Amino acid sequence: MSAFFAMGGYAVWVWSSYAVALGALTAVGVRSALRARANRAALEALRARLGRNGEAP
Amino acid sequence: MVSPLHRFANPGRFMRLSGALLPWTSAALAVSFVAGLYLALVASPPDYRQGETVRIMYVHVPAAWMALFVYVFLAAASAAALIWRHPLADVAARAASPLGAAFTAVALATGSLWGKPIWNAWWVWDARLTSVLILLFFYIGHMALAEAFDDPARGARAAAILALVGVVNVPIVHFSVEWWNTLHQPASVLRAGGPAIAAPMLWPLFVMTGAFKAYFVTVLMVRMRGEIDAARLRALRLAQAARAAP
Repeated sequence: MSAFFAMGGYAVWVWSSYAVALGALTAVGVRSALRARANRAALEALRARLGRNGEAP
Repeated sequence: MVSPLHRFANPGRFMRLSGALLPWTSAALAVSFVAGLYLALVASPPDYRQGETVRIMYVHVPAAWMALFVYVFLAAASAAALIWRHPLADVAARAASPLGAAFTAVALATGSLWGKPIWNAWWVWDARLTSVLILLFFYIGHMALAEAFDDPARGARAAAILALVGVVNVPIVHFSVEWWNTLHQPASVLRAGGPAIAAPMLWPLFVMTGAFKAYFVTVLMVRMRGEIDAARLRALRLAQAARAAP
C-alpha cells in the first residue's frame, strides 16, 4: 500500500496533479450547482411574491 | 434546418429535457470517474522511461482535449447566436466558457507538474505551451466581455465575436507540435498511423476522457439551467420595475 502512495518516488508530482485536476473540476461543479440552486430559489420566491399573474398581491 | 433547431432551442423544452437527463449524466459521470481513477492509478502499468509520472497523462491529456473541444463548442454556439439568434446559444456559450477555462488551466497546471520531473522545467515558451496559454486568455477574455456590459445582449454579442476570432488558435494548438520544434512531445493518439500508446495505457486514457466528457455535459446543463433562471429572474424584476415606475 505504501508503494502505491509512494508512486515510485514521484508521489509529489502524481498526487499533486490529481489534486489540482479533481479539486478544480469539483470546485467549478459545486459552485455551478450552488449558483443554479440560488437562482431557482430566487425565481420561485419572486414568482410566489408576485402571484400567479405576475402582479404584486 | 433552422426551424427544428429553433424548436429544440426553446428554453422551456431545454429545462424539461435537461431535468430528465441530469440524473443519467450524473450517474455516468460518477461511474466513469471511479472506473477511470482505478484504471489510471491502479490497473495501468508504469512507463518504461517515465516511470509512475506517466499517470499524470490520465488527467493532463483529457483536460487538454476538453480545452480544445469546449472551445469548438463555444465557437459553434457563438456562431449560432450571431447568425440564427438562438435563444439558447448565448446561454450555452456563457455556461461553457468557465468550464473550458477550467479544463485549460488544469491542462497547464498538470503539464507543469509533469514537466518538472521529466524536463526539469516548470514551463518553457514552446509553441504548444504558449498556444494553450493563449487559449486560456481567450476563455478569460470571453468571460470578461460577456460580463462587461449593462445590457447582457451586447455583452453576449461582443463575447461571441471574440470566440469566433479565437477559433483560429485551435488548429494552431493541435498542429503546433508538427509545425514547430517543441519540447512538448508530438501527438501520440490522434495521429496518422494510429495511436503510439500501448492498449493498457490507452484504455484508461479513453475512460478518463469519457469521464471528463460526462463532467462537461452534466455541469454544462446545470450551468445553463442556472443561466436561464437568472435571465427569467432579470426579466421579471425589469417588468416589476417598469410597472412600479410612474
